[in-house]
Amino acid sequence: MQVVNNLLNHSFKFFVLGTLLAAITLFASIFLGNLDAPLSELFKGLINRDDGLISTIMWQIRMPRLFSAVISGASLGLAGFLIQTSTKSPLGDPNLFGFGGGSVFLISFAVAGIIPTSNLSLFLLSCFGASIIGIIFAFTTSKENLTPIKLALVGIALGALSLSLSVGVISYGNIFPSQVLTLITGSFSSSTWNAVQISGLAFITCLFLSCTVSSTLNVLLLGDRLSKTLSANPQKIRFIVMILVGILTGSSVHLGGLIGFVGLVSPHIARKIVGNDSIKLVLMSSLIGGYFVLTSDQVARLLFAPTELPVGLITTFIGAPMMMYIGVKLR
Amino acid sequence: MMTFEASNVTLSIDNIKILNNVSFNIPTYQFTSIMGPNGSGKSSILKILIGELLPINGTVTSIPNNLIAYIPQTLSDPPFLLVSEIINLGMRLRKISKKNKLAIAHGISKECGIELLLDRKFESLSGGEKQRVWLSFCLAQDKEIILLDEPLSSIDHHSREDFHKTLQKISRKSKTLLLVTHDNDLSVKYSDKIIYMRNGSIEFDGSSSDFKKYHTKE
Repeated sequence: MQVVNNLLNHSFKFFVLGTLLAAITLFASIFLGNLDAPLSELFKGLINRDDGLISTIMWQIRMPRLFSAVISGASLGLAGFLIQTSTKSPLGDPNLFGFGGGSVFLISFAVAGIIPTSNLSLFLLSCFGASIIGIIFAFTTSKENLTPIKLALVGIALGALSLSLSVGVISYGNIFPSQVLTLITGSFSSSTWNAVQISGLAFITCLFLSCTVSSTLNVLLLGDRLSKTLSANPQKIRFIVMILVGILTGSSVHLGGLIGFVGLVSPHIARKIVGNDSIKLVLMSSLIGGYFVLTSDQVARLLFAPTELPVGLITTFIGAPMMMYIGVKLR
Repeated sequence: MMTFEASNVTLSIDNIKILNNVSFNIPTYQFTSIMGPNGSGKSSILKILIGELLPINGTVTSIPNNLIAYIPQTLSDPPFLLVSEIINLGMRLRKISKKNKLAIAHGISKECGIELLLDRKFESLSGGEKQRVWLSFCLAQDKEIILLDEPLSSIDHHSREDFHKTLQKISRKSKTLLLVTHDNDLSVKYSDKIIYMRNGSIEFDGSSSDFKKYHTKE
C-alpha cells in the first residue's frame, strides 16, 4: 500500500501513467474486437466516414459504446462522491444504496411493455425513479445519530427492495432474459448516439451544479450541528445533492443498466490522488469513474470474445474486495 | 461586548421540569464552568443559550449565533478530513487570504498543542487529541464566545488538566468561555466562575475561590 501511496503522491508520474493507461484503453475500445480486418483498414474506416461495414461499425457501434461507458462511469463516480460527502459515509454508492434500483424499477415497466417509451422518456423515467430514492434518502439521513454503518444498512435495504420490486415487474411482463441481464448486470452492447447525447448533456449539467455546491460539501462532513454554526443549511444542500445523484444515476442506468461499485471505488481513488479539495474531487471522481467503466467494458468485451460478459460483473469483481477493505478499516 | 444573562428561566420537556426558575449571568472574557450531577440541567442551559431549546418562562439575552462557537456533547468523527482541513473549515466565514489562513491555523494549533498533528487524519487521533482539534476549530472561527459541552468525558486525568490550562490561557485572550463539565476539581482550579446545579436549580453561583469555601462547608 505504501508503494501505491508514494506513486500516487507524485502528481506528474500519475499524469503520465494516467494518460498512458487511458490511451491503451481508448485504443482497445476502438480497434480491438470481433471485426476481422487489418489495423490500417480500421483506421481508414475511422477517418473516412462512409457507408462501408468498417466505418459503420466504428461510428455506429464502437464510438457510441465508448462514449456511453465513459459518461456512465463519470456519472457514477461523481454520484458516489456526492453521496459519500453529503452523508459522511465512506461506503456510499449510488447503485448499492438503491438509487439505481429506483431507476430499474421504473424502466422495467417500460421494458415489460406496460408503459410506452421513447429514448427521452426512458431517460426521464430512469432519473425520476432514482430521484425518488434520493428524496427518501435525504430525509432519512437528516437524523443526527446515523453512523456510516447504519446508513449503509438503510441504503442496502433500499437497494434490495427496489431491485426485488423491479424483478416482480419484469416477471409480470415476460421479458427476454437478455434484456433483463442488460438492465440488472450492466451492458453497453446496444448503445446509441441519441442516448449518449441526452446523458452527456445531463452529466455536464450535473457536473456544473456539483461544482457550484462543492465548497459547502466539506462543511457537511462536520455533521449537521456544526455545519449549521458555519451558516450552512445541511438539509437543503443534501436535498439538492440527492436530486443530482438521482439524475446522474438514472442517466447511467439508462445508458448501461446497473453497474455496481463504480461510485464506491472512484471517489476513494480520487481522494488518494488529489486530497480532500472538493472541486478537484468532483472532477477527479468523474474522471476515474469514466476510466474505470471504460476499462471494465473492454475486459467484458474482449476477455472471452466473441462472448461478452456483463460489465457490472467486472466492476463488482474489482469493487467488492475494495468495499470489504474500506469496511474493515472503518472506525 | 456581549454577555449572557438569564432571569427566572423555566424549561420543561415532555412535561418534565428540566430547569426551575433559574437566573444567572456569564461574565465576559472569563472562564465559567457549569457543574453538577447527571441530569441536573447543565447541557440544557447551553442549549437555551444557543437557541436550540426555548424556555417556557423567563428571559435570556439573545446573542446572534455569529458571535458564538459551540461544540456539542456528542460529535461523530468527520470522515476523510485532516486536522488542518478541519481548522480551515472553521475559518470558512472569515474573509482572509489563503496565506494568512495558513499562518492563523499554525498559531491556533500551537496554542492548543496539536501543531504536530496537522497532517494527520482526524479519525486516527486519540480522544484527547480530537478534543483539542475541536477547540482549535472553535478558535479558528474567531468568535467572542465559546461554549463547550462536556468535552473531556473520555480523556485521562493528565490530558484533562492540560486541556483546562489551555482553556484558561484562551480565556485570558479576551474570549468568553463557558464549559459544561463533570470535572469538579480541575474546573475549580482553573476557571474564574462556577455555577453548580442540582435538580434543575442553581445551588451555587460565584467565584471559584468562594466555591472552595462553600464546598468544604458542605
